[in-house]
Amino acid sequence: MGKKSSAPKVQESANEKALAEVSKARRDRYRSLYRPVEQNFQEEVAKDTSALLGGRAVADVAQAADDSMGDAVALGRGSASQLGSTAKSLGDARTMAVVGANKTAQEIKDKGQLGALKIGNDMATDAVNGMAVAARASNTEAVAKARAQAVENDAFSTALGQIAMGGVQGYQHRKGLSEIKANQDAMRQRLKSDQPDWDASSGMGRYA
Amino acid sequence: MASSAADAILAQTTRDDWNYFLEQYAPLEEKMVGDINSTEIIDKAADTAQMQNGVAAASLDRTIDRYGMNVNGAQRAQLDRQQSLGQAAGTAQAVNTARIDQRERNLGLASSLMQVGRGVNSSALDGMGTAASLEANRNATNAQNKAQAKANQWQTIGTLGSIAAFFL
Repeated sequence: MGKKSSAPKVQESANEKALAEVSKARRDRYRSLYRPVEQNFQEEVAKDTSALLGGRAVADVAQAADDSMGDAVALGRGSASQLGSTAKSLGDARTMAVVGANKTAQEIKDKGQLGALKIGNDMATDAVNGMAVAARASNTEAVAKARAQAVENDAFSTALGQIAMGGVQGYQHRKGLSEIKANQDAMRQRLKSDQPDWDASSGMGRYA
Repeated sequence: MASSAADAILAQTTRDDWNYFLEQYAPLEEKMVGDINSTEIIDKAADTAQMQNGVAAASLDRTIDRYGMNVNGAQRAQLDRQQSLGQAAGTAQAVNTARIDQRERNLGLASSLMQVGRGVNSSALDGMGTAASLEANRNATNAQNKAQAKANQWQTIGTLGSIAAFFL
């Protein structure tokens, strides 16, 4: 069939076009704007901040202790051994401050990374859901196309069958006609051959 | 209102909203994303420490004057030295604290933005999914219509061919 089919075609509506375009624009925006934020966050949150936090904690301890120790020395309070004890306490306090800061740094890092991981997994879930939608859509399309092709194939086969049947019926019809004609001829011939000779004397037919 | 007119209005409205977002919110979005490595708190801490130390020094001088304290040259030098050391230590501590606060703020902002970004991506995927489904439906319907039309043509050809074959 060289002729193009005149099937009505469903065109993309303005809303569909808007939906597709805006969705793509948002996706592009996410990729260009937010992905770098995610990368930056992961790099930043993984950094070890124990030194920074430890520095502040030690500074706080030192400031408080230095003041009291300075006062003690300046005002002549306490003995040398008491000062030594104070110094030891200061060392202990500084150590505990650093240990605490290390723990805090680890907790901050864990919390940040877990938050990032949760967002990443939520996005992976969205991706899987999107793939499911896409798979259903392509499956629907493929199934419908296959059914449509089957309808077309059936119609083609039926048409071939109809043509063949027409030919057979025509042949049989013509064969039947020619047999009838042959019979008629034979009958006619027989009738002709079986016709009695005319006997003029008797005025009657006489068979040979 | 005809449905096609309603469709067109909705399409135009949603486009307008998208353009409004691009005009009104996209710059804010870009500005906030560009601010995740800010050093503003640190920068301000150093400036603030210097300024506040100056205020404190001036306050000390005023107090000395108010109470008529006699400060000799050696005492003044000692006082200045102490103030200078205190200021340096105070500024360093302020900057150090600000660094931690800045990091906390930057990570907090980035984390919130990541949540926003997830929403952006999620809605984009939803939209694309719906668009893909609609396109697939459209393609399927078009394929069915086309096949039905061809089937009809084949049926006509079959009928005519059958008649022709009958007489051949």
